[in-house]
Amino acid sequence: MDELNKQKPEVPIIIIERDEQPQPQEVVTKAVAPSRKQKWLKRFLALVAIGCLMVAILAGYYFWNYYYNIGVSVSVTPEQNIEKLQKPAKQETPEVVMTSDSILGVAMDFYAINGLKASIQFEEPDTADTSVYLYCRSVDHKADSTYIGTLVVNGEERQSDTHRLGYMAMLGGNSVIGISRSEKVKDYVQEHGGSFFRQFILVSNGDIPGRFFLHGKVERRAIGRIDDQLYFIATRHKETLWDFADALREYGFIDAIYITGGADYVFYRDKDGFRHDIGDKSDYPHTKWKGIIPWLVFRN
Amino acid sequence: MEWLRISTSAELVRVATDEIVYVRADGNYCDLVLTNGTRRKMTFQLHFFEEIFQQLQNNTFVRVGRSLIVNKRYIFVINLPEQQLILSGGDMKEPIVFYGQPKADSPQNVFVKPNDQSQTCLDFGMARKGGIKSNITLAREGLKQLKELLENEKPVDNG
Repeated sequence: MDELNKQKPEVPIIIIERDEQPQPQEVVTKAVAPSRKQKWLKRFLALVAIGCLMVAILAGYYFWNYYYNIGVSVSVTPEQNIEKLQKPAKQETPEVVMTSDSILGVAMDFYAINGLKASIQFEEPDTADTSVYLYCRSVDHKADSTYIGTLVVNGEERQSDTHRLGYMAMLGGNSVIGISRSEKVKDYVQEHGGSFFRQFILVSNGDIPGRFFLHGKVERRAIGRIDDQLYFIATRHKETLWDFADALREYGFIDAIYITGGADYVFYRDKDGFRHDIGDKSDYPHTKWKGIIPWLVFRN
Repeated sequence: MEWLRISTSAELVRVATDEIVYVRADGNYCDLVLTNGTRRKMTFQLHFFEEIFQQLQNNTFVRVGRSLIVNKRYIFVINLPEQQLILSGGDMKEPIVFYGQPKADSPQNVFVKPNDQSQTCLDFGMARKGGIKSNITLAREGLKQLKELLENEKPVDNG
């Protein structure tokens, strides 16, 4: 070996030979530790995901609170009211039976509505129209003639606004009232050419809401239900909304919704067809907002 | 698969690149060591190997210091405090250990004879060429660079 090391080094000829046969691909399992950048990216994405989840939860809570948690229990669901509207109308003697009572210091007249078909029209009924057994106002309207709360007249939507949770739906010879923010009943009625309007709740499932936003004392009116009997109710004196609602609840109403126009002139007919005035006759006919006010009319 | 066909005036050596564990300079010559323990003295200098390795399609050889080229495939341990490089794997029955710093009291710090099959211990600091301090520094730096090279090497993905 020492002799070999003493020799002068050579210049070799080195050739690379390559295997022409295709080699099976080597399977390499990656086990790469995440870099710091990847770690921070993962953390950032996790934060974004958590943020999105929180937003989704908040949105879900908001929608649940808005649509379902309406602050009062509900006696009848929209689906049940749709079933009632689908049934054939009861064949009853068309009449309005008026009774009076006073409860919790609130004097009220109750007009039980039997065998009558409800509808909404923009022309005030004539006192000579014997087919009209009772009429009253329904939704409020603003000075610009737009309505407050959903209003559907004969299948035509005039306003869509679900802030007021009470509703009355009319289709064929059936009329129902209920409490819901859902538009299922409105959609059904609209599709079938009926009428629908919203007003705020006075009584829901035999209970009254926690608070009312109107505190003044005026004559009050409402549409209420005891079991399946529909009533139009009017106070004889000026009452606060809370007193009125509490009196209705105490009287036994399951559901009741507000009706605007507490002092407006309207009339009803008894079973003999005699007309009885409600309110000041000098107000009749209403010239202001003519054609704007949607009248809730009960005919035979 | 690639082979080297090395032709000198006296002989022809044909070897698969995968079987080369390391090539070590030995004066004007170099020692070619294979995985099966075969050692062959080549009568040319180490840089010829370095040049040809660079032309390989899959070059797994890396130069560590002035006197050593190792196959990365067989690097088992790089220990900087101990200045230790251990090659293992393939058909090797025993690991090959390199020390970068001579340890007077260490029995491993000897250049073992090729026919000693128990364990091969090599000083890759080229201490015999003189200048121990400088060569040790070079070796330590080479080992550190090798470690960093392997750490920063991207994972191979043949898929």
